[in-house]
Amino acid sequence: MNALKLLAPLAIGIILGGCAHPIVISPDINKITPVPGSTTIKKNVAYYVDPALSTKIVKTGGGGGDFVQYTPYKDTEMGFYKMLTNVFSNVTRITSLDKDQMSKDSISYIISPDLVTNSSSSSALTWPPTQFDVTLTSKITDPAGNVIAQPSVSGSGSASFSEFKSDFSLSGKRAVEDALQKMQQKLLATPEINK
Amino acid sequence: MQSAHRHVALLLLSCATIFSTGCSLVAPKYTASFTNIQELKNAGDIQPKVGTFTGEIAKKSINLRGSSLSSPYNGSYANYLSEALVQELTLAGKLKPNSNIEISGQLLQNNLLTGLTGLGQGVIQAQFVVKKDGVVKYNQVKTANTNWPTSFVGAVAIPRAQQEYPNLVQALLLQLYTDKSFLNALK
Repeated sequence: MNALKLLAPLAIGIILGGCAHPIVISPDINKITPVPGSTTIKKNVAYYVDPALSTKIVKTGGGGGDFVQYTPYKDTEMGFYKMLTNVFSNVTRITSLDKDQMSKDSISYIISPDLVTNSSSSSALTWPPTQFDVTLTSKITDPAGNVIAQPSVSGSGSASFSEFKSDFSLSGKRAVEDALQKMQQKLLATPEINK
Repeated sequence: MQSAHRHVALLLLSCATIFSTGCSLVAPKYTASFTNIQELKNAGDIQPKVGTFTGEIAKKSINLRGSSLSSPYNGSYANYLSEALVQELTLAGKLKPNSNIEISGQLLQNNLLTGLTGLGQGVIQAQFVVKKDGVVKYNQVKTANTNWPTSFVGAVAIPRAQQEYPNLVQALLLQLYTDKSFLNALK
């Protein structure tokens, strides 16, 4: 009976602890493909993410009262870069807004992503999210900092137990892939950057 | 008393389930590294193709506290390595599929260790061979090690280790790209 008294709080703590499970929502790069029949915009653009955002950890809902945590900007940076290379003729990743360097590289636009994510699960027994949603906005400025355009898209991804049992991050990856493919089309259709 | 024993047994079973899930997992697909791409971009006029990677351990899954982690590329970690090279050479604008210079190799070590406390440890080792018109120009073994914070709870430790695999491959390829004799062999 004493053993029961000792083990019960431990087990309950573990089971109902509301764990934050780590996931990575990096998309499959090979799935970020150019829009069929599209031609790239002949511009040199810079891809910039504020270093503070790169390490930002976000916690959203999972199943059974648990949470998932991930670094959305870090996880999506290569997918976003690949998407930009499908749209523009030359893309350079920059780590600071150095105007002299941008002038030297003949940068026309600086593009920075803004990500808002949410996740949930219809299951009370498993923690990986069955539904993941992401709103992706691309802030486009000129080298002087003037905002040119801010196209925004929503991506969503779902995954059932039979799918996510081997990849706990699957719904998140699918949502990011969906958002990046939509953003590609949106950028190609943004008149301000097609001049 | 019998009821108490049954409760203890149930609780122990719950804990065992949590700590040792015994799942079949798949490693995340490779995601290129900006650092690696920049090294390739800085390498000058190189345009290799990527050949075949082999290895006796290529199809062997990695054991993560009783769960098995397999490669997402036809179950082969040798294919994972060649896919990683293709991805980074492509994004750096350096891949030339009909080139007379070919990178091939063999996977020699491949493991992720996730203990109950402290740091998890990854180790990968591969032999890389560069041939120009069939003549060997480079033949070296590279090794990379990575560490990450692990957890007592399997439901945290196992996915964390699973996610570390691409970082381990990135570290191995960075060793390769920063070897000047490798880059010279590609010219």
